[in-house]
Order: sequence, then structure tokens, then C-alpha cells
Amino acid sequence: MTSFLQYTIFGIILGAGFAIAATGLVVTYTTSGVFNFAHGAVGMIAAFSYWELVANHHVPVVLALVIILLIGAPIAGALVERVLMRRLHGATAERPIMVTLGLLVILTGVATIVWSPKNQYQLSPIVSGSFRQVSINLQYQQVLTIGIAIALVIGLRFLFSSTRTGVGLRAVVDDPGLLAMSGASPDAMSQYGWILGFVMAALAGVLLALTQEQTGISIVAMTLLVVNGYAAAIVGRLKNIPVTFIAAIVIGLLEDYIIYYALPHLSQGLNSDITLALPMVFLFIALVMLPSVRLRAVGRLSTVRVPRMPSGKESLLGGVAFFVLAVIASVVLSSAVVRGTNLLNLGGEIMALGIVGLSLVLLTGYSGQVSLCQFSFMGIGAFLMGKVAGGGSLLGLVAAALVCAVLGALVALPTLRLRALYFALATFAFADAVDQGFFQDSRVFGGGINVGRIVLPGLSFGGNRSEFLLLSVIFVLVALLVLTIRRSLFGRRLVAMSDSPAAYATVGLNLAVTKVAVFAIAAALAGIAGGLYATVNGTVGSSDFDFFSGIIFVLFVTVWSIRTVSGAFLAAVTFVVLTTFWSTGLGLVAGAGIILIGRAASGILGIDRLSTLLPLPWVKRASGGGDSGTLAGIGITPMGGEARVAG
Amino acid sequence: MSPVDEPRLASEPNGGGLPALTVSQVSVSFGGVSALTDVNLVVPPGTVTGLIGPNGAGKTTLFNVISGLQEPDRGAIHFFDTDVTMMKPYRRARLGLARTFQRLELFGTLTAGENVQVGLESTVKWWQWRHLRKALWRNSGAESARGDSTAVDALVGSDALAVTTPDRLLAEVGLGGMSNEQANAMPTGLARTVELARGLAIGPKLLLLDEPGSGLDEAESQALGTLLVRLASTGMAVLLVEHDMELVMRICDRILVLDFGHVIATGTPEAIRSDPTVQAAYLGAGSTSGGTQ
Amino acid sequence: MTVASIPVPELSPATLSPALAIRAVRASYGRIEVLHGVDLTVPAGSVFALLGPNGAGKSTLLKVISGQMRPTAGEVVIGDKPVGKLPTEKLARTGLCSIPEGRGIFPNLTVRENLRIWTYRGGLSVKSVEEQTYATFPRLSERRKQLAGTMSGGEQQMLAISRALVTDPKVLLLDELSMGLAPLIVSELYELVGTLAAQGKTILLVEQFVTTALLVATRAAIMVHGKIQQEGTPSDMATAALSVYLSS
Ligand SMILES: Nc1ncnc2c1ncn2[C@@H]1O[C@H](COP(=O)(O)OP(=O)(O)OP(=O)(O)O)[C@@H](O)[C@H]1O
Ligand SMILES: Nc1ncnc2c1ncn2[C@@H]1O[C@H](COP(=O)(O)OP(=O)(O)O)[C@@H](O)[C@H]1O
Ligand SMILES: [Mg+2]
Ligand SMILES: [Mg+2]
Repeated sequence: MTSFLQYTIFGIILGAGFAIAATGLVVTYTTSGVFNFAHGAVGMIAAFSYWELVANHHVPVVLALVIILLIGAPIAGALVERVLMRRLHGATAERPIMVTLGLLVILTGVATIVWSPKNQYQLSPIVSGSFRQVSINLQYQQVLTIGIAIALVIGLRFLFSSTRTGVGLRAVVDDPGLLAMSGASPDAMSQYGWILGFVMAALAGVLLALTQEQTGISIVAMTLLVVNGYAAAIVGRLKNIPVTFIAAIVIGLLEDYIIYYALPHLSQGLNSDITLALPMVFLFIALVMLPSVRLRAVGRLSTVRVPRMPSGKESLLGGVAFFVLAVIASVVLSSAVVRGTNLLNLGGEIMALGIVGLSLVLLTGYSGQVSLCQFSFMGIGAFLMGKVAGGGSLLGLVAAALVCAVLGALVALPTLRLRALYFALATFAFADAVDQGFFQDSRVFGGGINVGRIVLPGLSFGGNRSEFLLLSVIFVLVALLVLTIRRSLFGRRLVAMSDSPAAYATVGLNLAVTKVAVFAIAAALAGIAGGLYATVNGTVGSSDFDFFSGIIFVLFVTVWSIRTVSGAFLAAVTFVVLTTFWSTGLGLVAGAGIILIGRAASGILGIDRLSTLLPLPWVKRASGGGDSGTLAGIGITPMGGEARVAG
Repeated sequence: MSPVDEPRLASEPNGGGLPALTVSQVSVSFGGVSALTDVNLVVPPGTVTGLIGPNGAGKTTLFNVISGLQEPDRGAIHFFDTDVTMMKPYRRARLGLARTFQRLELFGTLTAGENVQVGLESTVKWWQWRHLRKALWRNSGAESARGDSTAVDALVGSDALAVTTPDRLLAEVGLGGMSNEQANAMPTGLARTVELARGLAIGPKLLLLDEPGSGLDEAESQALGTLLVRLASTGMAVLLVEHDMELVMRICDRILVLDFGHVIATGTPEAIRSDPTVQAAYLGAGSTSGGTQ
Repeated sequence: MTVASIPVPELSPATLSPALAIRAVRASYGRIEVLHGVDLTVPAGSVFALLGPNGAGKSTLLKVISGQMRPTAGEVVIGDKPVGKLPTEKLARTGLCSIPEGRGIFPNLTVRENLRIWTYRGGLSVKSVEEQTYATFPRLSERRKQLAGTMSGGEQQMLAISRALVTDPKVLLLDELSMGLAPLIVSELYELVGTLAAQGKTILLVEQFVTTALLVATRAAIMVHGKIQQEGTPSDMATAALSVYLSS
């Protein structure tokens, strides 16, 4: 009984930490309309800064806290608002998600460089000492955490509902222009909002770090610790602070009970650390329990301009040109080896990854659904390719497509009734759960699976070159397929569905069917890509499809252009080249890229000025098309663009 | 709840047939505030029926109930003789029920032509090869429609795709040559017309229009009136919510007045205009001369 | 839509200094220019009706005046000061109030919270703002705790207009005031416009219902394709408007 009480109290303390994180998320969402995926990363940086100051440089605790919470975090928040967020108003729904993911990737990248994961980072409590109450040992530190959490909830609730500033902070999300016309500065408001959000993230980071006394803090763990807060924030529907607080406490308790009571029995059969997947499981459950969004007329039109679609003939010509260039490349590069890597081999990987990119064009570019789990499907595809029919068989590819399509539909079914952000979060949770629970399990990939070269009936693809050409052909075919889909009625429906769900239903179309269909198709494409990737690579291991790489890849596609086939290809080139030759820079480049393009809906390939600046013939031709776009309204001819880059 | 409880308006024009829409005893409340209370109404085919009433009377809520975006607390909706009360919005649309929105709900990143085309193709299954094949070559499929009679006249309740093309439909509502404009960059008046054309494209038997005239200039609203009358003459039932009394009085065969969620009057434009309750609730005292501006 | 007996101030424009002057203003969305050199002078204390077909650029002009859009050429002068690069919120605090076309409210705030935002204009208390609004629109008082975005279209429009009533502006820009409002309320509102003008406020009014607008206007202009085509007295413009609409 004593131990139950002890666990309960620990659970509440843990929950209070989550509550501070979750409230911070809610604050940021309320004041900016942005779900900050980097919230945990900001907290992580704050925690490490605290370690740096207090443990490493022996700065007094109070001074350190002042520096971090009252100077560092506000400046960082103001900076992020100014440079990143202010530009995002009126961007497509996917963009804030991408930008904060970019920030996440950058912050973890920087942290990895500054605070090498090889070292230990130990912290001691801010206030030491403890007292005993009914045979339970409580530390002052823990009491402090709970106190801060409660004070925050009360204070914030008061701010947002009873002060004009609080109302103004919320108003800026709805309509900054109108706020300005009413006499308040929207820029200042949104700046205050981000400052507040960053301070809360930093506070949560430091407090959560202090709970990690025994293990010391680590970059990944600190970043993901906040995911526990995600679930609570979702239960509070990203706006209700008291509900969020209570949900966080409940989650803290559940986690504690599971770890102490259930896990010892559960984990015997498992080789991976299931506690790492727990937050994601909670998140998934919270999402599935959300009530469906009511189909409602919102009457707000996006102002996004989209690139012109190439016609069938243009695509086909582009495809042929692409293939011709691939043939030339295969001759020129046939035995080129750079730093021990065969370039043709890389070329094959690029094609395979390009197909994953294409699945994103279909899913996110056309239908506006953000998926962060395409790498999971890719990994599952690769696994099946290695296992089915002895590996390397065409059957493996078929299995990859089918299994992933079914899995995709299963992920989509419980979540398709949710709006875009929640859907993205569900894929986020799914991706991490697959990574932690499946890929990292040593029995799945182990030291890596050997996958034979692909065998097609009557043909052999023994050499690098023939395999590269095969993959190029497949890539071109899939690209043509995706473009054809966009031109077909299904493609129009995808765009229509993301533009106005209410109108979509009232012209007689079934949202649910369309969503599940597109998600399943995209998952199948990613599965096939994974299978192909496996055959090119020869061996695949768990690290090939890890969670962070998946996110980084999505960012690259967004940076180049998630609405065009060229974007998918260029993203694959960038990703593969960087992973091979400069893997430390991978996340940093992706993050920097996303910051650079800001709200331009069609990425680098869609930016007007850039395309007129660069002396690239295909871009010029496209922008001369007389499109009346204000932003990114030019028609890149996707296949043409690729063809040039490939050569 | 049977539609038979409902007082039939057998003496109305076209009253011999079944009403296109029968709303019986519908009530809706939002957290205690009731927006609709026991509303009964019928809309016969081949007429333009006006639905007017003060702001907040419940007109849009009623449209949401009819089109399936809002579940009623009580009551029933019949579309011809089908009970659609519990039906999903997309199923109602497939039966031939189209609507527009008070605040535009266009597919903003599609072109005007594509907006209409999504409507035209709404009954097509996406895996049908016929349509995929077209997509292989052209940006917009469905170029080859048969028949020469004006498309709008042939639309009602038909397989619209067989009768017309997006370009022709747009041309007939006065948007010829606009089919390649991106919808979200069009001026309000034109965008409203695109929304109307998209509704027509599903070949509706009943058309619900929520303030189609708001934001239109005088020339545009004149054209709108003419179009609606023409649609009704093809046998379509049109239910029109509109605050532009001149338009309403000119084109409606019959008018229903809603106030605080109750139907307070029903009748011809003449009768409504001179009805003292309606004047007090809605038209205002100066309106006896109204309608002519 | 008829408006009975509205107090129209008997002022001749020539005798008054302009409250608002627009000089050779050009503006564009991206690469497309929609205002091609607009000149307009609105005398202090007048009700100026700006008419014209859809897409003429009327709303764009109002956006330029209220500082939401920067002109690519030309200038806007309010009182005797060129507006220059003053941000929108500064302009608002100096007494310019613009009620935009369509939704001029914060949909995810309650009615009361919306009213609270109006107090940013300065010198207002929440209480007086609420009292004044509810007196004019009793409907809103029943809805004070409702999210503004869930109200009916007309109720939202009432809330939007309440900002013009309570903030006591010197210059008032009204874009399609009557849009989505019942005739009864429209005539009440136009009476109110007349009253505001009588108090010395300067009002620039964009309206689709020509007759309604011209009843209260002291001066009017017609805009076509991004240019002022004609300007004159309301009665002159009534006939002119007719021919413009017919030809467009
Ligand atoms: N989701 C909702 N929650 C709460 N109240 C609502 C909701 N939707 C509508 N209402 C209320 O129901 C009433 C009817 O609204 P409705 O939109 O149907 O009016 P309307 O007749 O269309 O008016 P208008 O002519 O102004 O558009 C209004 O008072 C509105 O505030
Ligand atoms: N946000 C926008 N982006 C691009 N074009 C616009 C935008 N808003 C308006 N326009 C265009 O500018 C022109 C003038 O529009 P507007 O000022 O709204 O006219 P009015 O108010 O007179 O109806 C129209 O051709 C319209 O299509
Ligand atoms: Mg309405
Ligand atoms: Mg306008």
C-alpha cells in the first residue's frame, strides 16, 4: 500500500512536469495557431543550457534560471517569431507543421554538435532536501514542480479569459489584419505569444530535466519527453488549459503505474525499450478519442497559388528525356567511385527515395494530408522485400505494396475524421511507435537483412548499371502515374477535399473513402519504394528508416516543392547525397531550407523571383507561361526539371 | 414522423406532384438557444421558393439541416418520398440535392472549370478507366459531351456529365472564358456564380441557395434572377435565401418567412409584402413601396 | 430598400477642407495592377458613396486607405498629414475606422471578447462599449457568450459594424455595409450613418445597392476598372450608375 501511495505521488509529480510542457503547447497554439513540434527541443536546449551554466560553469542556480528563462528564452522566442512565424499567416495548413519540425531538426542538430551524446550530463536539484509525510519521502524539488504547475494554470487561465492582452493574444490568430484595424499591433501580439511559449518550453525543459536525476539528460529523451505533453494538450483540444492540466496528471499517473506494475510482466517478450513508445501510444489514444470534426462551412478561402499542371504530353516527353539522361548518366558514372561510394548505387537509392517523395506529393501536395510516417511504410516494405520468398523477389515487392496499403488504411481509418493537424500528429505517433516498437527490436532487422538483387522473370539485374536503369524506369513510371492521377478526376477530388470538406460532401462525394484511398495508395508507393531501396542497397538495417530521417526527408520534399514531381526527385537527391557525404549536416540543411522558403507553397521550385534569377532554361520557360500568380504561381514542368538535374 | 402530417399545399402551382422537399416539425437548438422550432415547409418542383427572415432567424441552420451538415433535434426531412433525415450529406447530394453557402465554399486552388468538373463527375467512380484514360493526355477531361440543347435546360436530375462540359456550363451562367481562372483569385460576384455552377453540375432536382445575391452588383444580380427563373422552368425546385427584396419579390413564386425559428408567414410575394407581421419583423415600415427601390 | 427621412447634412463640399484625399494611387496584387491612378477627395463631414461594378477595385482602395495594402504609387492624405508608411494600428488609433467587406470579426472569440478588442482604439471602457453595442443591436446582447464565428451571417455583420459605432472615428470606411443584412436593419443602419455624418464624421461608403447608398450620400463617384470614371452629386451619379452597370 505504501508503495502504491508512493507511485501515485511520483505519478502526480511526473504529471505536473508534463502539465507544464502541455500548457506551453496550448499557450503557443492559442496565441499563434501553430502546434509547435519544436516545443520539446526548445525545452531540451534550455535544459542543456542549464547544465552548461550550473554544472559546467558553476553559475549560481538563480542567476542561471534568470539567464535562461528571462533572457535567453524570450530572445529566442522573439527571434523565431520574427524570422519564421510572422510570415506564415495565410500559408497552407501543412506549412506551420513543417516549419516547426524544421526548427526541431535544427535544434537537435545543433545540440548534438554542442553537447556530444557520448558524454554524461548529470544535474542536481534546485532545492535539495526532502521531508517525510505519512511514510513517504518527498523532495522539496518535487513539491516546487507541482506548485509551479498549479500557479501557471491559474495564471494563464486568468490571462486568457480575463485580460484584454490575453484576448488580444488570441485574436491575432483569427485575423491579424482586423486586429491592426482595431488599433492593436498584431506583430507585437504574436511576438508576446511566442515569447510566452518559449519561456514555458524552457521552464518545462529545466523542470523535467531535474526529474532525470538518475539517468542524466539526453538530447533525444529530453526532446521526446514533451510528447507526453502532446497527449494532454490534445485532450484539452489545444485550448482548454485546466483540462490539459488534469489530463497531464492522469497521463503521469498512468505512465507511472504502467512502468511499475505492468511493465515487469509485459516486457519479458520484448527486446526493445517499450517505455520510449509509451508517450506515442498515449498520443495515439488521445487522438482516437477526440470527437470528430463537424463538417462545417468555414467560408475561408486559401490564398495559395499553385503551379500549373503539365499536360500528359509534356509529362511523357519529360519522362523520356529523364530516362535518356539516366542512360547517359549510367554510362558516364558506370565506375565512378567517390569516397568509397559507387555513384550508380547512390543513383539507385535516389530513385527509390524519389518514389517515397512522390507518395508525399500525392498525399500532402495534392490532398493536403501531412504524413510523417512514409519512412515507416518504406521500412516495412524493405523488411518484406528481405523476408518474402527468400528476398529480392518480385513477390516481395507485391507483398510490400499490399501490406503497406492495408496498414495505411488502418492508420487512416480511426484518424481520417480529424483535421489536418491531428492527422499529422497521428502519423507522427505511428512513425515513432513503428520505429521504437518494431524497427529497433533486434529480431526485426537485427544487424541488417541481406536482400538479393531484384529478379524479374527472364531478366537479370546483376550489375549496378542495369539496376540503376531499372529503377529510373520505375521512378519515371510512378511519376507519370502520380501526374496522371492529379489530372484525373481522382486528383481533382484530392485537391477539392483539402480545399473545402463541407463543399466536397455537398456535391455528393464521400470524404472518408477518398481519404483512406489516397492514404493507402501513398503507403503502398512508399512500401514499394522501400522494397526497391532494399534491393539497391543489398542490406538494410533499422537505422535506415529511423523516425528523424523520415521527418527530415519530408522537410526536403517541402523545401524543393511538395506539389511537383521534380520536388520529390530533388529532395531524394539532396537527402541521399547529404546522408552519404555529410550526415551531420543533414538536419541542419533541411531545417535551414524550410526556414528559407517560409510560406512559399510550392517550395523553391515555385518561388517566382528565384526562378527568374537563376539562369536555368527550364525554369525560365515555365515562368514565361503567363500565369497570373502573386506568389508561386508558375508552372514548372516537373519532368523537364528533373531531366536537367539528373544530367 | 410522416410527411402526411404536414399540410400539403395541393393548391400551389405544380401542386399535383410530390413536393421536392418536405420539412416536418424540425427543431434545432444550440446549447439551450433554439434556432429552429417545429418548422414545417414544402418546396414544390418547378418553382422558386423564397425563404426570408431577419438575421439569425434560422435560415442557414435550416439549410444545414436539409443538406445534412446539421442534425436536427427533432423532425424529419423528406426528399420527394425518401426520408433523408439521417442520411450523410454526400448521399443526399447524390439523390439530387445541391446547395451553395452564405460564405463561399469553393475549391480555392482548383480552377473555375475544375470546380464545376468535380461536380459534373461526382457520380463517377474514380477507378473507371474511361476517365483515367482522358487524364493521360489532357488537363481537363470530359470534353466530349453530346447534345446541342442548352445544357442548363437538360440538367435537372440527369447524369450531368453526359449533357454538358464545364466550359459550356460556365458559359451558360455567364462565365464564358473564365474556366482557367484559379477560383480563389476571382472577385466575389464571379466566385459566387462558380459555386452556383458547381451546384448545378451535379444535376440537382432541388437547389438551396444561401444569399447568392450578396456581393453581386446590380447587373450580376439581374442575371442571377433570370437564371433562377429559367432553372425553375426546367422543373428544378429552388429554395432561395436572400435579403435583396427586389430580387426575391421579382422571381419567387412563393415566399416563406422565418422569424426566431418559426415560420410566421407563407404566401405569394404580394401577400407577403403587405403582411403586417412580416413588415414588423423583417421588411420595415418603409417597405410598402419597397421592392422597387 | 428604402430609407425614410434621414438627416442629411446640408453642406457644400467646396466650402470644406478635405478629410481624406487620395492622390494618383496605384496598387497591385502581385504583378497585376488593380488600381491605375485613383484620385479622390472626401470633404470633412460628408458621406461619400463609392459605387461601381464588382472587381472595380473599391475594396482594394479601402485597403490602401486603411494601411493594409501599400500603394505602389501615389499617396493617401488624412486630415492634412500624408499617411505615408504609418502602420494600420497607428492609423486606427488616430481615428480611422475601416469595416472590411465580409467578415470583420474574430470568429474564435466570443461576442464579448470581440467587443473587448474594440477598446484597443484607446479611451474606451469595456463596459461602455458593451452598453452602446447592445443598445443598438439587442440581438447581440443575447449572444454575448457565443463564439462569434457560430453566429448567423447577419449577426456577425452587426458585430463588425459595432466597432464603427463605439470607437468614435473621425473617418469611417464602410465596405458593403448592407451585405447579408435584413432590410429593416439596413435602413436602421443607414439612418445611423446619417446621424454619424451629422456629428461631423467623414464617411466613405462602398455599396452595391446604389439607391440606398445615394439616399444618404452627399457626394458620390463611380469606379470602373481601377479608375474613378465620374464624380458628382448623388442625383447625377444615380443616372450615371445605371448606364455603367448596363454597359458592364
Ligand atoms: N453552431 C452554433 N452554435 C450556437 N448558435 C448557433 C450556431 N449556429 C447558429 N447559431 C444561432 O442560431 C441562430 C440561427 O442562425 P442562422 O445562421 O440559421 O441564421 P440566418 O437566418 O441564416 O441569419 P442570416 O440572415 O443573418 O444569415 C442564430 O441566432 C445563431 O446565432
Ligand atoms: N487577394 C487578392 N489577390 C489577387 N487579386 C485580388 C485579390 N483581391 C482582389 N483581387 C482582384 O482585384 C480586383 C479588384 O477587386 P476588389 O477591390 O475586391 O473589387 P470591388 O471591391 O470593387 O469589387 C479584382 O479583379 C479582384 O479579382
Ligand atoms: Mg444565414
Ligand atoms: Mg468589394
